[in-house]
Amino acid sequence: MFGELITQYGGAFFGFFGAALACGLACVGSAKGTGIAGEAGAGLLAEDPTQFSKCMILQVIPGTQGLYGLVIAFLALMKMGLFAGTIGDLTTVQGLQILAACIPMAVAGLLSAIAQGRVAAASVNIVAKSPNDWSKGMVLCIIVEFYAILSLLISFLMIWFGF
Amino acid sequence: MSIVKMKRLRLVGMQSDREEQLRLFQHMGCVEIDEPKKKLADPRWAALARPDGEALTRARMEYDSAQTALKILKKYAPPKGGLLTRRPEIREEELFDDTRYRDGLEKVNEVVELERQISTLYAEQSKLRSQKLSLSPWLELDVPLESTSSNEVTVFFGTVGSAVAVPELQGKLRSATDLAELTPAGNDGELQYFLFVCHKSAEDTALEVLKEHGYSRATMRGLTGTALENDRQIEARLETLSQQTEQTIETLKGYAEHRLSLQLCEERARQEIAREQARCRLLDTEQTYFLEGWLPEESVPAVEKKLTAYACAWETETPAKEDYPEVPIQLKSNMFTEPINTITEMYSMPSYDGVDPNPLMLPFYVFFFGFMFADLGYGIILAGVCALVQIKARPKGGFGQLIRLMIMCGISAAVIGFFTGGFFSDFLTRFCGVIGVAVPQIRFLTYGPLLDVMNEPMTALVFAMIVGFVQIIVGMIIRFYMLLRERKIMEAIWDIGTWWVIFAGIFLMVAGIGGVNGIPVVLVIGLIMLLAQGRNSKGFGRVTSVINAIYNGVTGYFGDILSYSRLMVMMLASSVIGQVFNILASMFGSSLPKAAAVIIFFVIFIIGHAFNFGLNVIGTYVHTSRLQYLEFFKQFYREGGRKFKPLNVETTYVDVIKEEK
Repeated sequence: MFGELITQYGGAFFGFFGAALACGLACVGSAKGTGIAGEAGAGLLAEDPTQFSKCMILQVIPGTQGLYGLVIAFLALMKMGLFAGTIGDLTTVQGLQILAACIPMAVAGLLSAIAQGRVAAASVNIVAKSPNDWSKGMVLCIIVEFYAILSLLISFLMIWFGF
Repeated sequence: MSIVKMKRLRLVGMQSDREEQLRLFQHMGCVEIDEPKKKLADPRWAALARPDGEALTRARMEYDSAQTALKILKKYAPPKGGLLTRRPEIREEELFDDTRYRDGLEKVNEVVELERQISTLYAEQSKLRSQKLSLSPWLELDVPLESTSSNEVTVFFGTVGSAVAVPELQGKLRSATDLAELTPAGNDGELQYFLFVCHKSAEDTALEVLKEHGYSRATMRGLTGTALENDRQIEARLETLSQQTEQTIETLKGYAEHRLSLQLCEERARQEIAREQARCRLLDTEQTYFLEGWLPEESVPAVEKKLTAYACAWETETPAKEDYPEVPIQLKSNMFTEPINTITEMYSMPSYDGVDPNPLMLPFYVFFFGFMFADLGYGIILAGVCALVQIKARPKGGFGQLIRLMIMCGISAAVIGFFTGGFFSDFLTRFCGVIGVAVPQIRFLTYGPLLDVMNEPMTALVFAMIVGFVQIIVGMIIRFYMLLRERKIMEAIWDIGTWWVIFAGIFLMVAGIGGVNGIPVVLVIGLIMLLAQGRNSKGFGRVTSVINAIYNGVTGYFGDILSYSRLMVMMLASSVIGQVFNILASMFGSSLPKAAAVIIFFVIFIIGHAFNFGLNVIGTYVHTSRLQYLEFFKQFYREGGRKFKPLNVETTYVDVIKEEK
């Protein structure tokens, strides 16, 4: 009975689950990251509103993980045949493969965005103390970004070439 | 192209010529004046007088007020034009014209004074407003506020809390005595205001009633007339003040036309500060002064020519090896290598006995950037925007160098994008799908790309690492050359040559060439050469240093080459994200009429690609720089130099036209 349920609906379920994790967790990470950076930015803007654009750029940097999550979720849905209407053909094994492929993006998206948010928040201090050197803070943030990109890539390769 | 050779300059000149000579050096812009530290260690030198800093303090004050005035002007009359406005050009003598400077300073003071007036006006207005506010509960009361008690009657203004029911209070008062009257005036939510009048004989009884309700007296701070009269006066005064404020602001805005002279004032003050700072580093006797500094070897004849006109003694000296850490560094650049200075300077200038990394780094930098950013559309936009900024604004300094570097990088990205089939990722395929036409067949761009990163990521990865290997080998060659230049031939052969033999051995082994009885001879020779790493140690230390060298070499080179995988990673990431946006764009309109589908396509397309573009420009810039700093520079770079900062005319708002004096 249960086995039948799994074989009939498991593929789509696991696939969706993976896409949901990739997008959901990465977006949570980005929300937290941009939140942390935004708080720090608002603190500075209360003192010096002219630094708005720099603070805003620093704030949006941790926002990219959410986008990466969306990209992976989208590709997963596309591979599953959601848009082509063939999702019913997805086997349980394929569904599980999609789920596994989404994990790197989900985890790294969540955690790297938060870590990057902290760097961005700290970089707001650079904007406050020496606004001309703020781009160095941006460089520090982008270093964290790289690990989200690596996860994006591995998730992409697994989904694209996985089956 | 190389590190400019520097000379130590020592000069003893007459006090009377000093001002003129310093101005001459500032005009020539090739002499860096520094503290004569070594000389000062000698007490006889240290006993010499130092020039006073009076003029420096004055210049700094003038600079500060010019800056303040410009800030004020920016606040009230923001300057028009942004990135694309070209700085005005002025002649050097205009900048150093004293009459102009004095006029400018006058304007500066006027602006500062107007701002002071405005803040005084604002302060007075806010004071009046709070007065007006405190009067508002009394407005209904038709009694002069100066009313005071007489011998017969007690009169005061007072308040009770808002919880007190005033009619009830009035009733109680009436039942206690006929000789008291409480007139309610108004309330402000917290308190209720009233006027209290009572005959002296009933005062105690009446106050007893009031006390039960917790009253307190209000003071009127010497106001005369009724509250309403006062209010009207304040209103009228406020009106006048706000008109005055507006007028003053208008006058201040009118100073926008003098912005240039304020800016020139700041520029001039900056020159004064630079020269006075240099002057403060000199040493004085009664009649003469002593100057120590650096100048590029190539500028010696020009300086010599100028100095013959003065009664002074001077010499130049080639720095000795132990002085190298002090020698300031200037890199000689041509049109192509000049922009990459910004990358080198962000890391650190090379030391005087190092090499100029710019020409060696430039091709790699431009190629790596292009490879990671590879997209015909993105590349054209990047190069186009930067070229526009360059032509329109001619930016200077680090920003200008970055702009010029990005022109090269954009072109590189466009070319590589063309050969790898990227035009806004797969825009052509998707868009042709939307409008329903066949994809135009363009070699490389739409079919048969040289490298298809989306479908053959492994090929791209291997290519990236090969490119990285090439860069590392180039770095090693430079180090080899540097060691040979310093006559450290043994180190060159054993520390670098060994690895080349090993690399060649690995290559031959993989290719299956040069094996004798299955033993890869070249690799074995290389491994034996590694034993030479123990040559400088003794005893058991030999073994550990060999092991150490093997461990560091293997992990170091292996890690470095792997690090170049980011070339492929960034390239792929930008294409994937771009492609997803293209798919999204083409998907939404698929069931709509073609015209609507095209509009929706472009809306999503523009937003998505703008985002991807911005993200990737920053990301690619950081990762390209990182590969230079960590993987490339590690092989050969000797950093720690100090940038050559000659006494010169340096400006931010205007460009100075150089002319011979």
